[in-house]
Amino acid sequence: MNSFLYDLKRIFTGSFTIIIIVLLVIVTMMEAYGTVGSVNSAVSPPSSTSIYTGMQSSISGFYALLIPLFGIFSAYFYYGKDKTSGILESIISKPVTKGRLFLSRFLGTSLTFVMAITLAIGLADILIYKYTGSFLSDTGFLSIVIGYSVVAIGYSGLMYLIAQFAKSSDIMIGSGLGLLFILGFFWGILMYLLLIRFLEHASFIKFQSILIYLNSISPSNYSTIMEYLKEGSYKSIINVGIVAGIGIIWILVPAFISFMLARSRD
Amino acid sequence: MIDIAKVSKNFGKTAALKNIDLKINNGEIVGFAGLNGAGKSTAIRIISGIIFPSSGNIAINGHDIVREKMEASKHIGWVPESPNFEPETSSLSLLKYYAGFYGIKSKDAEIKAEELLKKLNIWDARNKRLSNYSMGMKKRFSIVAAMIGDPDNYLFDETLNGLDPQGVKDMRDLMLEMKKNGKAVFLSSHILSELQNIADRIAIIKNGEIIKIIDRKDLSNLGGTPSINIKIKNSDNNVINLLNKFGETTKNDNIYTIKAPDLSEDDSSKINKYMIDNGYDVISVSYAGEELEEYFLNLVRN
Repeated sequence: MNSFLYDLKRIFTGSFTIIIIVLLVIVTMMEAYGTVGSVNSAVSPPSSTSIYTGMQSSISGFYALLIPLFGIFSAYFYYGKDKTSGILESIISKPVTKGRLFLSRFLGTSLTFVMAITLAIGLADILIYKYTGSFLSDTGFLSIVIGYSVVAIGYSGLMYLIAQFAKSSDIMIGSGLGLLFILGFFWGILMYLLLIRFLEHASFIKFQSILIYLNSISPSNYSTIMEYLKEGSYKSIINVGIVAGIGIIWILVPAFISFMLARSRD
Repeated sequence: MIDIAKVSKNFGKTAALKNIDLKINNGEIVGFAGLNGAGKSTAIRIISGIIFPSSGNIAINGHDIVREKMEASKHIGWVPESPNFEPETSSLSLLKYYAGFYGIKSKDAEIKAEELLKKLNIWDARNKRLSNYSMGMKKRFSIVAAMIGDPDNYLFDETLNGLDPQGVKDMRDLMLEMKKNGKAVFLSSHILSELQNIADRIAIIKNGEIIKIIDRKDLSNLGGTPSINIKIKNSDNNVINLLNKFGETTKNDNIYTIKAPDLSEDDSSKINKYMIDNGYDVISVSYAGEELEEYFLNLVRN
């Protein structure tokens, strides 16, 4: 087995990975009960659209905090901590390059998010089906999984980027949480206030378009954009190409910049 | 073989290494001595591929450590000054992980790890978390980790620091065994008497430049005051009084250094016998012309 696959395997079987998966599954299953309650009162059996809406409203509040935190802390545990503490050096002295080590860790953590979110939403879907007789539609399922996976990978990529410059674990964690504070909790409000200040007399469509684009600068908002696409909201602004483009940018750009820095810096 | 050619390293505007040229041949131990901040660790970290040189080349068995990192790293083992490993992992599982980078299968890695952990006397702690290891055990483990891929070249960065006398002796024996097996060993140390005991050559570095390379055959002809180092197991306060009979004696850990203008190599056996007759267990006795330390300090201070 080559070093890349070996490192990948190690992340999949790491204790933090297992904690992520277990926690996400438990929380999602608990939220799924909430979904069952809300859709049971409606028409029976409920449509997959109402399951999707119910599921999104149940998990969105909790996931808005949990998913970015997973992104931040797994990047910290599987890369940043080792880099700032010097543990990574003991590995780099082995037959592996800095670039390969970076890739195996980043891909390992990214795949972990996708697996954990898929498993959690999948099990929640089965639970909801047991009580309501309806599943999420394929597009609804994919929309939730892809939306939140991009959020986690986006935050993780930003943390890998911070790790290239942070000199200590404290700085890294502090920067990550600061980033979550700004991009996760206040970005929408900040952008809204900015637009009100500078585009006070713009048309509703123009205002809304620019607001959505500005919101997409934060990975936290990707799941909402995905939701707009699924529900067909803001059709003149949001289409598959734009949503895919934003997703690809969030998955690739921070990771690519971090990768280039990781392989060329001491 | 490690071939260092015109290697320089700058950290911002600070030049940490300036045009270093050095070759460590197979079956040779080269000591690396210098004051703190002289550039020893920087040089060793560059040779191990952890940091990049600003200019110059390092070839490990003919493979460039920057351009052919994967191949070059297969042939070199790095033993850091302050071993830093994943604290919550056991030594056995970490060794299997490291072995994976060399393409060693898990089963073979277990066999190899057992052999090395036993050789370095930490087999009993194989399932302990590394956070529970003492510094001496961590150093031993870092040597095992460097040896897991059976490389031809070794870098020891201040490995002797912080080891007890038994640990120092074990390290010395291990390096001599490596030499006997045709390995190239590059050892930086502050303990100049140890370098003097085992190194075939000693490179002295000052402000990032190698200012002198001393051959083993020249070590006893450095001029100045001759000295004899004697290591005693059951030393006590009376040892200095006894040794003062032969010359001015100083003590550093368990090693006593006797200096006198008329000391000769023959005096080593006389002193050895004298101490044994007085009921002391002598671990080692070695003669040096001018004490290397004196020579070294004169060199780096000028």
